[in-house]
Amino acid sequence: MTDAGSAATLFPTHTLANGLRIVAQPMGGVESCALGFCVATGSRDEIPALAGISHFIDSLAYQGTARRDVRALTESFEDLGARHDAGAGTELFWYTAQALGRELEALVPLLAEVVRMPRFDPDEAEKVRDRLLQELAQLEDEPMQKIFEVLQTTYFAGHPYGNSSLGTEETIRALGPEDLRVHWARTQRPNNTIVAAAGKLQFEALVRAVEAACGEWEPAEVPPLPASPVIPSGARALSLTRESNQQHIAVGLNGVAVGDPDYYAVALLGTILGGSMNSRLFTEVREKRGLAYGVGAYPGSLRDSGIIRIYAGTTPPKAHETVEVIFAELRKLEDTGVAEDELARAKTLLKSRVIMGGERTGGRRSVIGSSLWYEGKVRTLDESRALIESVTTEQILAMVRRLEFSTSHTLVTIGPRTAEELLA
Amino acid sequence: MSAATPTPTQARQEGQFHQERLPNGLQLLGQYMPDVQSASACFYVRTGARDEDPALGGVSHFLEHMTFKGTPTRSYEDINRDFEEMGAENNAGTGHEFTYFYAKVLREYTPNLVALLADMMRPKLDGGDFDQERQVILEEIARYEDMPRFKISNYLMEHYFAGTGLARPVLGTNETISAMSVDGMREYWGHRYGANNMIFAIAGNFEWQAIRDQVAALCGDWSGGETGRTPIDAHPDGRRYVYTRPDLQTQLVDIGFPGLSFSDPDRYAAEVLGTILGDSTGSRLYWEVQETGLAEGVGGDYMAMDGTGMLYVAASLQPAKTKRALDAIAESVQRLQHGPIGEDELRRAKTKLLSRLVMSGESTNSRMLSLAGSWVSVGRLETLEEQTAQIDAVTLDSLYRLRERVPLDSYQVTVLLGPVREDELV
Repeated sequence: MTDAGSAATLFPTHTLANGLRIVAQPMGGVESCALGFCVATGSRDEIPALAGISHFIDSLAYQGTARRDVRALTESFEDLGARHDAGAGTELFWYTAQALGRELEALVPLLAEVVRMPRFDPDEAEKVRDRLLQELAQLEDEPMQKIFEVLQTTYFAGHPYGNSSLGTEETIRALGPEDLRVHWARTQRPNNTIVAAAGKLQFEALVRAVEAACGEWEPAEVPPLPASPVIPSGARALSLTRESNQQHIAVGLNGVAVGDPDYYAVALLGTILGGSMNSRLFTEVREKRGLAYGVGAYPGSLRDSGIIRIYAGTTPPKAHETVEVIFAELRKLEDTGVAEDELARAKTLLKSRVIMGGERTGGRRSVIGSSLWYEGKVRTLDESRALIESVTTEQILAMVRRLEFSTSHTLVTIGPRTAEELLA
Repeated sequence: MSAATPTPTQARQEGQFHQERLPNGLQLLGQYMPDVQSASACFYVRTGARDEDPALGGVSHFLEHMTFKGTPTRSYEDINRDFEEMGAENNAGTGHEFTYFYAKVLREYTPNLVALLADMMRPKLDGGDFDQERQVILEEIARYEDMPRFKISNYLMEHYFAGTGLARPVLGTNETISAMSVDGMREYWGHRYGANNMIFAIAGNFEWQAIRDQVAALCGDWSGGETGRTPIDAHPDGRRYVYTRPDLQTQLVDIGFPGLSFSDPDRYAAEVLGTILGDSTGSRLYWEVQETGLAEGVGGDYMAMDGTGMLYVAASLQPAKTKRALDAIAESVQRLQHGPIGEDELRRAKTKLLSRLVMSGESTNSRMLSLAGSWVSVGRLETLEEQTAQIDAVTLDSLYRLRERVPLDSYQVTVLLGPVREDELV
C-alpha cells in the first residue's frame, strides 16, 4: 500500500442531500471489499428503562426486513458469498458486510435494506429476547467477559457511558417490538450515519449505489450527545465474591478522549505498561513472579473520555501480591515516567501495528468510518506515524501525573477474595 | 504489448510459490505476495500433545512457553526486546498435532525475524526458568477451568478418542505439570524438534533467495530426530457423558460423529457437507436448531487430523431446552444422512467457501499457515486456484458418495456440561 497522496485523494468522501456521509478507501492488490454503516448511537442513548435496547436492535438486524423474511434475507447474503454482522457499542452502532469487490454494487442495497427497513417481526423478537436473556445468564459463566462490563459500568457510574450495553433481565423482558421500532427511528437516521467501504472498489460506483439505496432516507433530529463525563478522582473498589478457580482483577485508570492531544501518548503508555510480552506488567507479574497467565493493559477512548483497563487473572492465594505489583508499577510510572529506549521500542511496535493493520479491508473500513465520525477526517499513515513519532518521555510523565494513575483508580474483582482483602 | 510479455497476473502466479528441502530435512515453504508491505513467518513443528508420553502430558505446550525464555545467546529479555524492536506481532500455538511459532513484521525486518525465530528453535531450557514457568502453566490451567466452552471440548476429545494420544489435554494437568522435570522436557525436545520434523514457512513480501540462504546458513547444521507418530486407533463408545454443574447458567452440548483425515481424497466434499450441516449462518443446524429458538448458538464442522478425524457439533442453550435441542440435532444429522440434499444448498455452501478462501488469501498469517497445513496434509503446496477448482468440482454425487462411505449416523459421542442432570434427559 502506498501512502503518497493526500487524505482527500486516498479517502474520498461525499455527502448526500439527506446528510448521509460516505467515505472510502480503494485498495490495490485485494479482491475483497468491506462495507459498513456506522450509526452514531449506542448504549449511551438509553434511559434506564431501555437498557440493552441497542443490543436488542443489533441482534434482530438480520432477522428480516420489510421486503424479505429471515430466510430470504440470509440466503441473499449467502448468494453473494458475504459475511455480515451488526454490533452496538457505547456510542457507535455498526452494520457490516464483507464480500468480493465485484459484488459491492449488489451488497450496498442489501445492507441498506437491513439498516433502513428492519422488520421487527414479533416472533423473531421473541426468539432474540430468549437469546439475550441467555446471554445475560451466560455472562455469569464467563467472568473474564463480565469483569470488563462491570469495570465500564463502575468507572462511568452516573454517566451514559456507564450504561450496561447488555441491559438487565428486567428491561430485556419488558421491551416489545414497538419500543424497538420507536427507538430505532429516533436514533438511526441518515444525518448521523456514515457509510464506509474499503477494498476493491470504485468510489463513483459506490456513491451511485448508496445514493440509489439511501437517497430517499429521511433525515430527522437525533438525540444530542451527552455532556462530557467528570473524570473520577480517588480510589474506588467493587467486589463480586464467588467460588471460582481464578481471582479476576481489573483496574480502570483515567484515559483520554479520541481527539485528545495525549491520545498517542496514552496508546504508547499502554504498550509500555501492558501491551506486549516485553511490557512492564507482563515482565513483573508473569515473567519474574509467575503470578498470572493473562495480564495486560488496554487503553480505550470514546468521544469525550477514555479509560485505561488493566486486567490480571490469577489464583486466589496470589491475588494480593498481584495487586501490589500492579500498583507498584503505577507508582513507579508517576515517579519516573518511561525511559527513552522503552518509548522508542513502543513507537516501533505501534507504527508497525498501524501499517500492518492497514492491510486488511475490514480493519480499514472500521478505521475510516469511526475516524470520520470522531474527528471529521481520516488520517493518512504518514500523519499517524508523525503523531506517534512526536510523543516524548516528558509528555508521558506529565500525562501520567495529570491523570493521577496511582491515586485515582477503580478496582473491580470477581472471585473468592474481596477488593478490601486484595488492597489490604 | 507483445505476445511474449507476461501479464502482471501471470508473472505473479509464476513467482508465487517456493519450496526447498535442506539436506538435513528442514522443509522451507514460501509464498510471495507483492501487494503487501509485511511478511509472516513461522517454524511449524510436527509435534503436539498426541505425541507425548502420558507421564509428560502437556510437555509440548510447556516447551512452547520455554522457547521464549532464552537461548544460549539470548536471554528472555533479549527475545522480547528483539520482537518489539522489529514491531512484530508474534505468538505461538500448541495443539494435539503441531507446535508453531510465528510473527508478522514489516518487509524490512524479515531477516531479523528469521534470525530470532531460528535461534529460539534451539532454546536453553534452563532448570530455574523451568520451575518459574511451571507456575505460569498452572495459572493457565486454572484460567481454562473457568472457561466452560474450553472444558467441554476437552471432554469431547477425551471420550471420543479415549485411550489414544488425542484424548489428553494439550495443557496437561496439575499432576503432570507439577511432576514434570526439565530433563524430561529436554529429552522430548531432542526427539521431536529435529530438522526433519520441522517446516519453515513464510508468506508476504520478501526475497526468497535471501531468505532461503539465511535459513540454510542458520539451520543447515541442525540434526535430525524422530518423524511420524503413532497412528490413532479410536473406537468411540457411542455413549453420552453428562457433567452436571449446577453453578452454570448455560447448558453446553458437544457431539462427535465419524470424520475424515486431512489427507482424505474426499476432504473438499467434507468441507462442503460440513458447511451445509453446521455453518454459523444459513446451515441446516442454523435453521433447524438455532432459528427455531432451541439454542442460542449452534455450529458444526469436520475436524480433520493426521490419519483420523471427527465431525463435531457444538451448541449452547437454555438448560430447560436440552432434551428438545438434542432431538433436533439428531434429526438434522439423520436427514442429512438419509434425505435429499438441494442443489441450492450445494451452490450456497460453495459460494461461501470460495468467497472465504479468496478473502483469507489476503492475510499473510492465514497464507503462511495454509502453506504449512497443505504440506503436512497432502505433501505439496496447493495454489488458491487449485483449491478453488477442487471446491468448484464438488457435486451432489460427491456428497452422496461421502455420506455412504462415512455415514454420519453410525455412532456418536455426546458430552453435556451445565446444570442438566442425566435423569432430566429421559
